[in-house]
Amino acid sequence: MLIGSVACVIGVLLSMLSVTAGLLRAYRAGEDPKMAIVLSPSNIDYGGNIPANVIGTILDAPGIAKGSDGHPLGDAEVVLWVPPSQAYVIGSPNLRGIGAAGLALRPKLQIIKGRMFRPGLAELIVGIGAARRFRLRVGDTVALPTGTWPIVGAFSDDRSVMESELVGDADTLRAVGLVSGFSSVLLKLTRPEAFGAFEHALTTNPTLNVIAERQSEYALRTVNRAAAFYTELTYLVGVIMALGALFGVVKLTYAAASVRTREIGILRAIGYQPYAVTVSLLLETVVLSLTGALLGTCLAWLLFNGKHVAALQSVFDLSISPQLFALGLVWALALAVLGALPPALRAARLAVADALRAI
Amino acid sequence: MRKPVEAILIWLAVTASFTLFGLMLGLHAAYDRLIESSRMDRLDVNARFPSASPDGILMPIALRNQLARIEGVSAVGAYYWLWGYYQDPHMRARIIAVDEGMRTAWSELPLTPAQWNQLFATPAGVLVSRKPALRLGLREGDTFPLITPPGTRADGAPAWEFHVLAVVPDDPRTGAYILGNFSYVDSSRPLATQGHASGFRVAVRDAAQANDISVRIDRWFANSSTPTITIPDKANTENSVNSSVSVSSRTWPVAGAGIFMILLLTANGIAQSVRERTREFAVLEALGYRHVTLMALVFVEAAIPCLAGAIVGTGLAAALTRLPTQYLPPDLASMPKPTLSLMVLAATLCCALLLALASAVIPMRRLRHLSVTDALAGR
Repeated sequence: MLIGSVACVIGVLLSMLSVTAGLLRAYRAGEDPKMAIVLSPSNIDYGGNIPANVIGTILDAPGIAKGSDGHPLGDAEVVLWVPPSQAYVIGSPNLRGIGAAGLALRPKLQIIKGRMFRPGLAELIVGIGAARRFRLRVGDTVALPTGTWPIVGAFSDDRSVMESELVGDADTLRAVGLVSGFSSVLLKLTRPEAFGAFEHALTTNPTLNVIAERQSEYALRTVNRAAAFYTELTYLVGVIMALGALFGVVKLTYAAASVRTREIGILRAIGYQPYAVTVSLLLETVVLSLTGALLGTCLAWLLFNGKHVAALQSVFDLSISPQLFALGLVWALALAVLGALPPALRAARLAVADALRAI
Repeated sequence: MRKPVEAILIWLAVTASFTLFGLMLGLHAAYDRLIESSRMDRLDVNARFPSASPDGILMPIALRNQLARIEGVSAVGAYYWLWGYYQDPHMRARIIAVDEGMRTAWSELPLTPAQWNQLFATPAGVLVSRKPALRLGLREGDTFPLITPPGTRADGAPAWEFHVLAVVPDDPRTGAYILGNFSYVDSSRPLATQGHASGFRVAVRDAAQANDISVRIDRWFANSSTPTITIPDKANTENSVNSSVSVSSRTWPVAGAGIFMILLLTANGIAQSVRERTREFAVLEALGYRHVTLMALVFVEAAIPCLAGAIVGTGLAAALTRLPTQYLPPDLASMPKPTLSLMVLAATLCCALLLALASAVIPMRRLRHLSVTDALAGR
């Protein structure tokens, strides 16, 4: 019973948190501590709020790695949303415009069908997540004010959030007139420690009004902001369920101790100390609770891990990560200790004579 | 149950689970109500493509008259979103500046005709609903200076000085709003952006024609300078509910897991209780009690903590939904409040009875096959 109750709590907690973990995994795919992102003060990778005439200044900042062609490994990009050609409710993905260094910064991007878009042409490639979610295929077209842009290829990118997007050439996209500037500048630093000097150079330059962030921090911030309400709800649900399970653990441990009162009396009579009784009851509950946690985690993993979902304009896979597994074990351990301690202490305090008289 | 501590612990566990069950059912009902209360006879018309303008997507106000001429359209209202902050940059506020057409196009707003008249008669007047009034500390008659980004006003001033005409009820469906006067806001903006709206709300005569009219509107403006994307209000709400992290789809599994957890506990408690009292039940049977009576006794014993837990748990869930939003995490406060209707209470009580039945079924079977002589002999 205890195993089942704890399995329910941990299973529900982990299955709900797998959404946030999956989203975070998508944002952090291919994470490199040397990667950084420059954003406008709006703090989001969307729109065109970084003027085109400051991109050169940003790429001249110290600490940026150089590509094989000797140019800084930085890419000014544009992200915007394009409405679907057909029914609005089917939705449509974001469209990302990347520049010459965009592919060098994403070494895991692979064309899996069709071909890569050609710079200067009105062509797009579609991420496999976006293709699945928004029913887009190679050969389909996307309507923009200047005409229709054909989808010439489909790509994968190590299950990153970019797989939720359409991708084309940034300059050609800007020429359409939907945005005047850029959404972000993605870049690679020479080493992770170079970020401080790089950020200082950008934030102290009076001609720039931008924010620099490590890509890992940007991912964490974006996911936390996007899924904040859901995470809060998950913990609220988890706490209420855990409270129910806690009362159950106390009840079950009381019952377990009560049916073994005589055995406890015998153990005490032959010399076992009270703390040994407490520890044995605690250990029993901890083992059962951890078994429940393992069962709950296995169920959540079997039912949800890797399941494709779409939320918040992103398509990603639910993930029962090792961190979530550890979190489940910690919750189960806390439930066991908090629930078993009062009955275990009570059992240890029993007078030996009274315990031996128990039926 | 013979041991009061264990009985109380089971009741507490059942109460916690039914609190969760009530909250999840209520949340599900709230999402359903949000969608059901959306209007199919009203369309949202927005610009199809994003704009390079710092003001975002704007549409010429001239579209209003063209929209009104489309067959099946009964009213058109224009709105403009004016974003800024009040006193402190963290106290963000948004005024929805609306025109006269909104009286009909947004008729579900809980405003009296006199309040609409007052709004359109007072250029710098605003109607503030209760939630933002509480958040911003505004009362009727207050001056409400809204600080906006540079370049929002034609005269270059950083603040708009509005006057609170009245504090009005929140929108029963979407909650908070601050309504302003479109013509005043429009005429105060820089010349280049005057005569533009953020979007239009279009009321249609026949809800069944809403999808067709949406398509007609988009076709009508397809080759204009501002192609449109039109969607019925109800479809828009459904889309919003389903495109974010879907809470509504998870309420049933969570509620089910909570109930299953309690089923394990109560079933265990009842089984243990019956096991401990086998001899007492045998005595009762020897005294002439029938099997059915004994089984009813076991069922009642299971039903009491379940029903008591369900009632108190639902009450706790109701109390939680009434927590003032300032005591909730900000993101959780933005979710629709769970609706704990009589239907939810009835569903919870039915579930409690089923739970009691499921918990008691195995002990009842044991009692049915009870051998009185063996039980009395302690075998």
